[in-house]
This record gives sequence, C-alpha cells and structure tokens, in this order.
Amino acid sequence: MRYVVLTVLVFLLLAVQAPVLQVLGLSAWSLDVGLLTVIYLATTSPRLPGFVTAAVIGFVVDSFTPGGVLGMYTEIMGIMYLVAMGLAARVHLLRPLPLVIAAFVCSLVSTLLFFLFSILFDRNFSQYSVVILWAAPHALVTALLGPLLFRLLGVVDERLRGRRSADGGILLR
Amino acid sequence: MREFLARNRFGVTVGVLLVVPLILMYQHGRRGGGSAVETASTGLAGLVQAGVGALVAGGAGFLEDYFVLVDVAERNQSLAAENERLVGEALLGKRLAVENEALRKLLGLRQARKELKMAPAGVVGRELTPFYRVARLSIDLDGDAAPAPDMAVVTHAGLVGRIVRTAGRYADVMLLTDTRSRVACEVLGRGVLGTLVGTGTLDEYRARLQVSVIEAPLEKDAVVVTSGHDRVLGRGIEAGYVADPSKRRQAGPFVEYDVVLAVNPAAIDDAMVVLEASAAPPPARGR
Repeated sequence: MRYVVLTVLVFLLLAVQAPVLQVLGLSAWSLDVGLLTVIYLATTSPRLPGFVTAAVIGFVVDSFTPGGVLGMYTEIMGIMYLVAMGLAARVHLLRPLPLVIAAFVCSLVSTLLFFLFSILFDRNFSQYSVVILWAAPHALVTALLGPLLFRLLGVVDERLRGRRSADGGILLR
Repeated sequence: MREFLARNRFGVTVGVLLVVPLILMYQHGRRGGGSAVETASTGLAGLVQAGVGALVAGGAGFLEDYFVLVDVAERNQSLAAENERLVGEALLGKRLAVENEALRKLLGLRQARKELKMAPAGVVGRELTPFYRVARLSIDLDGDAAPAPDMAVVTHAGLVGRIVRTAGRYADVMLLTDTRSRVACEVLGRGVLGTLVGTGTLDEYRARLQVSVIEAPLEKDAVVVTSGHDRVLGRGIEAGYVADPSKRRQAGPFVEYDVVLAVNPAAIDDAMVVLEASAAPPPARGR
C-alpha cells in the first residue's frame, strides 16, 4: 500500500509540477521528483520492494516524458536506487546536509546516464549542449528542495505507517 | 532453480528490471518509438497533466484577475481623486481666464477713453425679471472713488446705464432698458440726434431711439452713441445698434427705431464708472 501511495504521489507531483512552473515562468527550474523519491525509498525501504517501486516510478517519469525513449528513466531510476542504497548504507540521508549533497551528486549522475542512454538509443537526440548546461542548475534545485520533498514523503509515511520514517529506513533491511 | 531464485530474489529482480528497460530502449532505437505501451502510458500522463494544467491555469487566471482588480480599484480611486482635482483646477483656470479677459478689455477701455475719468467697479447684485433678464444692477466701487447719481456705468462694449442710488461705495444702476431711462444720443457718423428711451420689456434687452420725423431713415446696424447733450453722460459712448429700420414707427413728432443694446447686462462682472467726462470729443469710432 505504501509503495502504491508513494508512486501515485509522484505521479500527481509530476502532473502538477509542469503546469505550475509554467504559470510561474519557471519551466526550466523543475525539480527531479522521481529521483528524490527513489533516494527516499532507498533510505527508508526494504531493498526489494524499494527497487521495484523505483523502477515503477521510473516508468511513471517515462510516461511524463513524451517524445523520450520509453524505459530510459525506468533504467536510470533503477540504477540510481542502487547508487542511493549504497550511499544510504554509509551516510544518514534523512539529515538535510547529507541529503542535499547526495541529491546533488545523484542528479548529476542521473543526467550523465540520461546523456549516455540518449546517445546510445535515441537517434533523434541532438540537445547535447542543453542537457550539459542545465545539469548543474537542475541538480542544484533538486538538491536544495530535496529536504522539503523528504519532509512531505515522511508525513505521508507517518500517516500510512503510523510512525516516523526515521524509525525504519535502512535498518529494516 | 527455485531455490536459487528464492535465495537471489533481489539480484534476479534487479537484473530483470534493468535488462527489460534496456530492451525497451533498444526496441525504441530501432523502431523509433510508438509502441502500444508507450502510447498508453504517455497518453494517460498527458491526459492527467492537461487536466491539472487546466485547473492550475484557471486558478492562476483567477488570482491574476483578483490582483489586477485590486490594483485597478486602488488606481481608480487615485485617478478619480486626481480627476476631481484637475476638474476643479480647470474650472478655476477657465474662470480666471474669463475674468482676466474682461479686466484686459476694461483696461483697454480706460486707455482708449482717456478723456473720461473712470473708476473700476464690480457687479455685486443683479435683479432679474420673470423672464430671467437683468432689470437692475448693484455695483461696488473699488478704491477711494465715491459713486454719485447720474454717473455712467460702462464696459469695453459700451454703455450699461447710469447710477440712480448710492450707499457708501455701493450703487444701484438703472439699465438702458428701464422705462425711466432717457439718454441723449446720436447716430455715429450721421449727425442725427435723438433720445434713447428704455422700453421696459421684461424678456429682451432693447430700447427705442427717438429721432425727428424730418430725419432721413436710418440704415440697419447704425451705431447709436451718447451725444453728451444731456450733460450727464459723456459723448461717444456706444449704446447700441439700430435693429430693423423697416419697423420704425411714428410717435407724435418723433420716429422711433428699435435699438439692440451694446452691452448684455447679464454677462458683466466688472465695469467702469465714469466719474467725470471732459468736454473734448472722443475719437471717431466705427463699428
């Protein structure tokens, strides 16, 4: 149930984000909701359902990328889950500063993977400079707003599980 | 095999879920996309996003209108206040311009008629007829000059009337339309002498010019000026114009012409009182 709710929440956030940013004139400054949720899952979930949910979230992100290569974000989110899981085993990602740093690094890695897969599988891919130029600002926005999204996901978790997300996390595995 | 899968459940799942997307991407790269799964997933996401987008745009539009209207209301109030102030200033400016023009003309009169000793006066009261015509004026002399009965009251346009009663620096002016009014006049340039008599009509500013029956008929718009023979008013002050000579009529030993008066008493706010008229003739004037 928790994973379904989190997936639906990501779906809704992705649906709302683009129109809201467009109205505010901040279309270029989008937040990587999918990536942050995957990091959250890697930090707070058992590894198998967490990984499956990450892949599903990747598929949801793929759905919100019309014209993109289907499966690319499924792949990227799967890989990022494994990366985040490795980070979470060494760093306490529920604290703001480690989270901001981890989110920044993960976002950059995610963009690099996107770049790589686009070159390999997308014959129409031509926006090399745009992807590279916006990688850092996008990562920065994602990293800075990461704690806020973590807080939101934590609240949802509290409602669903009746306990704080920090109580579970990687120690449950 | 089952035991292997059970023991390596996570590894197998990871392997499968990482390989399947690679296959999907490879297929996409070969065929250029457009699979049923892709169409369905992006279609659903697009539909939801369009709905959310419409809601957000509607909400944003409402908020934008709200803020715009708040600004408009505030600006409207500011503009209304400014408009009120400007209208007030415009009216004041217009009034001052009219007053300035009248005073300039009076000043011009004073300089043009240097043979007349005049003092400025302001109109302080008007008595109206039932037909909203001015029947009598009250004036207030400026400065040290004191008004006296029979002094002429003039403007740049001509003769208004004469003072009949005084009270300090205030005076009542009998207009040329008054039935009691008699002014010795002449027709400018014709040498025809006569008397301008008030008609007393309540609905128009008119008088009658009585001349001798032996005089030749006057032409229309002939200028009637004071002759000074009554030794009350000076000579050459414009009083009016012959209106329609064809309507002249004989009254005893005289022929009477209707005369339109030179000055509209309703339109004057300031006038000059002739304190003293010299015997010297005024310069010849044409209309």
